[in-house]
Amino acid sequence: MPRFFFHIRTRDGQLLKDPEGQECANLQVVEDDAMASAKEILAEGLLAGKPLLTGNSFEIFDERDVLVLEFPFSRAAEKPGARP
Amino acid sequence: MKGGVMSNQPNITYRNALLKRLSRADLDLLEPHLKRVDLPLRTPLETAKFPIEYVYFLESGIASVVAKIPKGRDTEVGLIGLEGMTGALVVLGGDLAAHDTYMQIVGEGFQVPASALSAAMSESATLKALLLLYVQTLFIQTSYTALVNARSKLDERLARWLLMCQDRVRDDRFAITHEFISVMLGVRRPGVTVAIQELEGKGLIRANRGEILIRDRDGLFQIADGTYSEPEHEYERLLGKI
Repeated sequence: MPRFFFHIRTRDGQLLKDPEGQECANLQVVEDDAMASAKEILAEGLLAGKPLLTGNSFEIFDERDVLVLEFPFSRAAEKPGARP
Repeated sequence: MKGGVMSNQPNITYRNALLKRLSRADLDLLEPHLKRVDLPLRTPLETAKFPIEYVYFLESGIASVVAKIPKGRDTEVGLIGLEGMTGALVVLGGDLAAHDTYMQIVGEGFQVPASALSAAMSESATLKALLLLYVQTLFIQTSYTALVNARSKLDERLARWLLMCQDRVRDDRFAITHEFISVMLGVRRPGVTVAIQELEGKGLIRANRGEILIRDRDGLFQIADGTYSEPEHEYERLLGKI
């Protein structure tokens, strides 16, 4: 299975690197995972007393370092989708 | 007299805290069955619903007892290092594993057939008593894990768990995958990136290429906010310092 790296671009421009990556069968799985993970990160943030960090986004790269998906957290805040 | 003094001395050939605390007589019961083994990452030590064949006394590394919901995510319910052993259910008289147990930080240990351990425990009340004390501490650890999983925030859980790892690895630095951290925290892996960054941003840890460096243990203790230390105090009360 191909491996994808779920880096996080914060709203102030910082890139939080995912050093390990994870295996996903295809791009649909990558997108579902991004949706579920963003929902979870937003929820954890709220539970920790933070505002909803919708300015963050996933920048997901494949093993050849090609950007395959940009996923704004705002999408997870507004749309239904994969559960965390 | 001389023999008595000798048998009271801590056994220096073992790093494992339980083996170290056994009397010479109890070691004589176990030692013929102990086999030193390397325990690479992910070595399965027990498999849920299968008979427990071997019990492991760890000398280094960390094993994790992991519970899973069908089609759900895995969650760690027990952490075992050189302070303890796998096979708590064998000590209690059971035979089937309730959960999977596998190595999450590479290490080594002593393997003993579960049947040999049971036989040794029925022969020696002192051996049985010591192992039961350890099982008691593991039970307390697991109950606190249940508490924090239900009530504590991600950064608090991560801080607690890093302290628990540091106690067992006895080093400021250890190799650990985000995947393992996600199992231990009960969150998806990308959430780990955020939690690590948060502790890193406060200068408490440094994460680099699969390695965590603990920079400020007291700071982690503060973040853990009371979730760390109760099980550790009980361990110390019952068995001595981890």
